Amino acid sequence: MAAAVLIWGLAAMEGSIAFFLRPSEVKESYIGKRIRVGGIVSSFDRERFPYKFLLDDQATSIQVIYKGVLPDLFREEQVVLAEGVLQKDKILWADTVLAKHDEEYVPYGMK
Amino acid sequence: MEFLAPLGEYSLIFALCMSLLLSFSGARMGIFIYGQFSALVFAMLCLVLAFYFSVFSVKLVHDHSYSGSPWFYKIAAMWGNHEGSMLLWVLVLSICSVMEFNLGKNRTALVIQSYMVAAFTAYVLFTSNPFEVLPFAPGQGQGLNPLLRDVAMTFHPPLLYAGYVGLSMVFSYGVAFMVSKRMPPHEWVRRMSFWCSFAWIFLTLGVAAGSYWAYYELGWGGFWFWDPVENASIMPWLMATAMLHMLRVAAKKQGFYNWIVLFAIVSFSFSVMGTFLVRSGLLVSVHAFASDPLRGLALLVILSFMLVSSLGLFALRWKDFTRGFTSMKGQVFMLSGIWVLVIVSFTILLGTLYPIGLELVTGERISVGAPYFQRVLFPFLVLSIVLMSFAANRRGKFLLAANFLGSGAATAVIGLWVGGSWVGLASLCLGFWAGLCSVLRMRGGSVIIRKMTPMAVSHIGFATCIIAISAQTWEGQKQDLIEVGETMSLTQNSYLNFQKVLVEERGDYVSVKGYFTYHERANKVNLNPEVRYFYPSGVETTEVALSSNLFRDLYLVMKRADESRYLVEFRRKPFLIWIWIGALIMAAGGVLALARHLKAK
Repeated sequence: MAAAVLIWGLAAMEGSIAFFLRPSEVKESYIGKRIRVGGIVSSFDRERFPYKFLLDDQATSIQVIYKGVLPDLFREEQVVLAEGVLQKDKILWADTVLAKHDEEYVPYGMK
Repeated sequence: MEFLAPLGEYSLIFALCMSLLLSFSGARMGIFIYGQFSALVFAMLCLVLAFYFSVFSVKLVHDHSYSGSPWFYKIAAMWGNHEGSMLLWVLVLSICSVMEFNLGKNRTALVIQSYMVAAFTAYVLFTSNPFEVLPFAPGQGQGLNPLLRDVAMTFHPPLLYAGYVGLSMVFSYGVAFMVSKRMPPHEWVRRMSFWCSFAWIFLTLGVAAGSYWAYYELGWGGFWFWDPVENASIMPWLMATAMLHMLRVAAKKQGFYNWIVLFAIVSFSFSVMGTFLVRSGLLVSVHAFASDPLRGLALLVILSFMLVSSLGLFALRWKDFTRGFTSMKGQVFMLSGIWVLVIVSFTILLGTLYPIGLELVTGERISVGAPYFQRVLFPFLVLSIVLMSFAANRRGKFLLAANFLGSGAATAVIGLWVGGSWVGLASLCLGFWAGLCSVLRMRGGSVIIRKMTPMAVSHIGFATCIIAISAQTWEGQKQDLIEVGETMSLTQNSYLNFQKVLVEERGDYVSVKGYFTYHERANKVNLNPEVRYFYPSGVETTEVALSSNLFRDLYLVMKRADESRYLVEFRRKPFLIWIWIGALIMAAGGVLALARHLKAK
């Protein structure tokens, strides 16, 4: 019975999995797949809609476009997660953007 | 006030010694239990005072508090972090000991419990000391994360911890039953039921409070997200629910003791594992608590030791307390329902741990999203409701069928009237059915309303939850860009009017408040969502506008989109509040059960 449940569970996972990547790990092969990218926000203008911003890691950055309500604590230099299907030219049309709500809250200027 | 830190630390060490010595205490057990308990209360008090008086030389206070904040945020700050919440965890362990010492006085269980107090006190002292002192005393603290500044934060963690840790006593009793051969099984089942109900009440309330907090403070617009941290709280709840039912079967059949022991081990392990997953940083969670590999490792050591020793003991002893073959007659529905609950918790576990397994094997990191959980759990949910209704009406086949027809008819009327998806209608129908089966029963040839036993009340609460959750498939949602003065039409007979924005400077932030009116037929509701810009930091937080009544919840967020337009997201959630009312009713059933136990004593 345990095996049946296991198979049933694994089968159901198909399609609800998002690959968790850093910007430098986003390859052409992920185009059309659901990915979740975590990185640092840059080149973000909150006065332009749909929102466009870059997610960076040390090596590279990827372009994210988002048409939803941005989460609290979203700003440049903040670590956020963007999830959606990767389009061609490696542009991520995110349907979800999450800011980490971290208990290690450091107010500006105290870092 | 600098003396508070060493004082707290010494009393933690004292508590550790007391709990280690307890097993050698002989007749004087009470001294050690109260000694350990008062030392922990004292340590907690030191921490409370350190927060209250903003003693910033204590690292924890400096990192999480701010001298200007109101007193309840200071208290919330105390367990809005790892160190403080682990101290709370230990304190609750010890409160359980004191309760058991006064109510049941089972020596073996108390000794096992004191070993756990010792293990977790050592954990607090050596890996997450809340009394760590900074080499200098800073003038001001860093303040609590704005998102955690919420009244719900003052009671959500203690509630959930009381539930998590309440299961520790169930575990201790389970192991005690294997160790001591003198314990009469019926008495053991009674004590187990007491502790299981106790933990279950708090788990129910804690999970509900957590979901309510996520809904209205985090502003995610939903009540459940299948995030690993949420899964960590629902798994022990499911196991505790399964165990409560198993204990009832055991009381009737004088058997199935081995299963209960196993459930006790698994459910408390789920509690500890939840803490481990949250604290180790192994899982990618949006809740992203501060994580530290050492802390995770230490918890893993405690967890594996608990599991290995208790399961080892179980493997050696299970034959001693299994009474041949116990007939399942009359309990088939209940036992099947229990198994459904167990399967559900393990499929959640699978979805939660699968990413870790995959990363270990392939190095690929993934997250398992909500669709997995919804797809996997829906058939089991249907099954559990069917079994629940059957089990509650074993001798009322007529009533069962009549209730089903009644619910089907009611659902059909709703379907024709407002439409809706098949899934929504089907689960609504099941919810009605479960509700009717929990309220009515057969006596003689007639249908009567049940006596409100703990079981009936909790089942009504559960049915209420199911109905309210099903109603969410009728959620109305619209997102648009609008300017001040514009109107956004929603449905044929409702619209949203954006009247003005008001910009105001308040303390350390600028508030931009929107004035909206929602019109539905002749009714008008004012909604004022707000964006706050905390100016030194540039942090921007949104305050959701909510309007809640028994029939629907309105939810409105706004964000600045460009120079003139605002991005507005509106949701209308029918009967949403009944999810939490249902949870409260479930917990009320648990309280009734507890009251009966105390009265029967």
